Amino acid sequence: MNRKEKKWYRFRLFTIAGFFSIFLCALVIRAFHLQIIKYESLKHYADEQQFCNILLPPERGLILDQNGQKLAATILADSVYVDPVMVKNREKTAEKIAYALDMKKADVMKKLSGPGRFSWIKRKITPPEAAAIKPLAADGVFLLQEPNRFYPQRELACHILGFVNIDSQGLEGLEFKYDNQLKGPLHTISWRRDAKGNRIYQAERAPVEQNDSVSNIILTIDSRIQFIAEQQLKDAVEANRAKGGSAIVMDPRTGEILALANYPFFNPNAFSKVSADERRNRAITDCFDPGSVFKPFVAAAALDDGVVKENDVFYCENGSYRVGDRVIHEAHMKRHQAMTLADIIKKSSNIGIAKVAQLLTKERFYEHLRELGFGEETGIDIPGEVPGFLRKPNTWRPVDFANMSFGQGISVTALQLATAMSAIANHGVMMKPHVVRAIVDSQGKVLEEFTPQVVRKVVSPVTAERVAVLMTSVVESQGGTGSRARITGVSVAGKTGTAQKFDFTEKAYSSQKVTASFMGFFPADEPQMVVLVIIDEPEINRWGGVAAAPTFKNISEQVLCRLDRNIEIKRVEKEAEVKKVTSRVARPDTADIMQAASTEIIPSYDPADTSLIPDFTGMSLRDVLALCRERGIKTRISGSGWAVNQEPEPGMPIDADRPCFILFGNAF
Amino acid sequence: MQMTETVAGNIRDIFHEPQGRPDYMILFVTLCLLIIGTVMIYSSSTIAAEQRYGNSLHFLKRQLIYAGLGIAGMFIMSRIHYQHWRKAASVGIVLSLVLLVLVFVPGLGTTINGARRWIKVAGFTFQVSEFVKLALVVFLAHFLTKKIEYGQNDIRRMFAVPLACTVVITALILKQPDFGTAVILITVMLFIFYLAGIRLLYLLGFAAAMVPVGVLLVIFEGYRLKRIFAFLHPWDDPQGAGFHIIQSFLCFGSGGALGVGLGNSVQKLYYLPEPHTDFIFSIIGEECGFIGVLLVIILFAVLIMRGFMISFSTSDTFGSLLAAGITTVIAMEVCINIAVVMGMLPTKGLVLPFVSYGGTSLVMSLAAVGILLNISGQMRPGGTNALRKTE
Repeated sequence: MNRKEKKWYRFRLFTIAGFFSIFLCALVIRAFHLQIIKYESLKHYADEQQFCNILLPPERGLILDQNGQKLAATILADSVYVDPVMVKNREKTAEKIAYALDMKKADVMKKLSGPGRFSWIKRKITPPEAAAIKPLAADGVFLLQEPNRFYPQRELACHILGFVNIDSQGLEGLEFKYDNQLKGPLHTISWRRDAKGNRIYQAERAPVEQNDSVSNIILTIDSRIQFIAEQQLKDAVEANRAKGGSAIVMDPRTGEILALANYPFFNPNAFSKVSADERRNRAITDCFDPGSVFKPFVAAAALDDGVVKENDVFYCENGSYRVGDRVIHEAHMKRHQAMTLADIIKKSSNIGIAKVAQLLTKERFYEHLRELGFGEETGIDIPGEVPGFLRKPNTWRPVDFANMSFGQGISVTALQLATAMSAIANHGVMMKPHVVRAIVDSQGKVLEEFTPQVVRKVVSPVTAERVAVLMTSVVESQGGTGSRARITGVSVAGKTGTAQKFDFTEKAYSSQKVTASFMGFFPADEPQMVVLVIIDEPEINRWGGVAAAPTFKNISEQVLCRLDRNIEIKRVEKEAEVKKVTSRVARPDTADIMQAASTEIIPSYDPADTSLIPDFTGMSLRDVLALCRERGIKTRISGSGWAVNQEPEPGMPIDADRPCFILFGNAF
Repeated sequence: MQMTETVAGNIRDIFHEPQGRPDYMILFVTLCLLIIGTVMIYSSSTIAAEQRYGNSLHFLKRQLIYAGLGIAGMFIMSRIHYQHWRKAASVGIVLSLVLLVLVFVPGLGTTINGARRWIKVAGFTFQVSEFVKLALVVFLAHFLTKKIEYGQNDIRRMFAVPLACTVVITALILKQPDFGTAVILITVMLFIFYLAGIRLLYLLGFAAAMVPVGVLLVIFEGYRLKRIFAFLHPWDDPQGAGFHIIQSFLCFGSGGALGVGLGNSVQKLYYLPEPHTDFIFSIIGEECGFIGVLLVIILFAVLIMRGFMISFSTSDTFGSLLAAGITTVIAMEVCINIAVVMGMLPTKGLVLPFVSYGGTSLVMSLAAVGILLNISGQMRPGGTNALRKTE
């Protein structure tokens, strides 16, 4: 090659090198484009393909009673899912699964042959089932822990709480109403997997902390009172062979519902096994004619308007009073002559109260009923409340007006009655009934507080007091219809009720089907608790004073004895006596108490002496254990609930070697 | 006795100390790439090896053996004066043709993935095309040098024979089929022709003639058409034709700037097919990120540019053409492989030299670098070359 050729040769070599330099630069630019500029979108696409995501509800918030007792909690349960792609032998795997989970093979087959890479087989299985499923992981059958709603107190407050479905969605009650607060947003469980679907454990995506968005709910319900109310209601309904019943315990000063029981009740852990009838929260969804329990409200209205005074005398027509084309009779076909307003309430005279109402006029009567909250929802924070039924006064015939004065021809809910009663008990001021005290976050910080809310002033405080006196005589005086509600040591104001039910098949008021009720509060002079008991269609004792009043008494008594609610007891010296009695005798009735009260000996030992065995009766397990630890008593525990019996007896010296046997039970 | 002396003499004649200092930069860069490749093969093949052979080290062990053989080959080649290859050029091309035919002999040839590219001898498989590439470069360099030095400029005399040889060899390789290697051979031939001074008009004419041939080849084999479609519109069918290249994109994409970390690739877990061979560069992109990709491209750039510098500074025509040829082969393989895995060219089935898993490829590539080292070692600091003295 000559010089010139050499030069050209070198030039050509240079161009080739240049070509490759440009090529390599292009590669770098392309890599930059893919890895830096398109990083986000490609990374996203890669994650989409590499992550297996399942949306799961977070651990649902707790529902606690006012003492912090868990009414609804969440526990983890195993659920089984399958990755259909990983199943090698469908037939065989399906057979194994069907055997382990007690399912139909055909159903399992359907789930194994579904599209996609995730399919539930069975959710929330038992631990033994989970153990049987575990070895099937190689066939693409996996377990996943899911939070599962659990109601540790079983039936307790079931109608208030409601329940959730398998996806932890609230379906009824507070679970439904506060679903959003309780459930929090769904959270994603995701893990990286290889292209064959195997989980890559070390490359797990950190779970997003979302617990903060789940709230816990604190109720006004006191589970101890709720338990008492439920048990007493159950006993009363069963003893009277009734269809059902409701009981409400309410603090009139705040409108807080301390207990709201319905019978029949159900176990929300297995809600699907009971009928809709049993799940109904009768106290707010069922309307009924209140009957005589309505009379104090008529009296309150009349007294408030100043149209009557307690000692005004009404002629009671000797038991049959013609109004329009109908004749009104007294209950039990009694024949009363002249009665004062006080007597009318005490003896529950239909004719008398009808005459009182007439003094009021239809319009004023209607206005008063509206003010007492009848014909509209109370606004309680449990879903499903009905307004009842109160017709406009211009549609009333004279007999309708008369009937309504003793609670026939008007439809109310148990809660409306209890709320109206609370208004009377609370010096005439109606408080809004509520069951939720506060919503708190997982750290206990209050997110929303439901403070007592005044609805309106219903009657003047003086009127309220006068009605309370009238109602006290129903229980406390000789000849009152509510004498069975009498509680030793506490003055009780109350009113019995026995309402005929409207028979829709006969299109007339039935003489056989009745609603027996008792409504009252105590202490009568400074009311702290309103209790309402409704027994639906009792067959044994049809009268409110017999069927419902003892239940009122039992609930009230036990609440007074068990709980430190600062209720002033009039005759202090009797306190220990009553306490002793009610705690010893399971399910006491009036006669037993009176008998027992006279024979029981007041303990001769000093309860504060720490060297003696204390009286555990009525204490909770937790309190018993705390006390025993404190005093160094060895314990043997059996049963659950509250302490009902113990050995050795209270007052015996503590022996470090001899254990104290304590029996717990739920029945009193 | 005398015979052994002759043999020893011949050996002494062939192996000798290079007179200058070989280009250690090329050696260094090559070893770097070799190490990176070995690490990445280990990272990307363990899972598949464990699953397929029950031994996670299966591919790594083999690669280490090939690397050992390759380094030995490189050392030997660097000690053989490159001028000796001129004598072997014709033999090499004949041997290539024989081997390419032998591939089709049942019992000798081995079929993997539907392609007959390997000859099995004594338990070792040997990929013929890797040898052919080197043999053809040596032959072209030798033949064209002869013509240039005799002042021969006639197109028919000068280019007819190399062209015929290349076309026959390419045809045989296409028969395997190995489209990627065929493309490399044709382009390398064109580059060497261009370097040897063929008129651009002829070169363009030949290139134009290749277009209908390429079109025909694509039409005859349906899968090639699919590959072109997948290349043009990969996202139209992400689960089908576009799957392979999209998985490669996702490797680069999820790697980002710094990568997910060595050994942490998720795409290698069955998402990306052949992660330790043709698509190993994608795994580098995922695990080492843009930084790693840049590093590897720079290493290759250094290797390629040093190769052309050797060609540039060798005054001997044969040495210069040989160095340029070898460098062009490596450069083409690197550029096409990386371009393919980044979706800039349709899928070919070419490995990344020094980095991808593959025995013959690695040994032959290292041997080729050995030749480059030898050429660089023959240069005198003064600029005049040393080969005439030996001759």
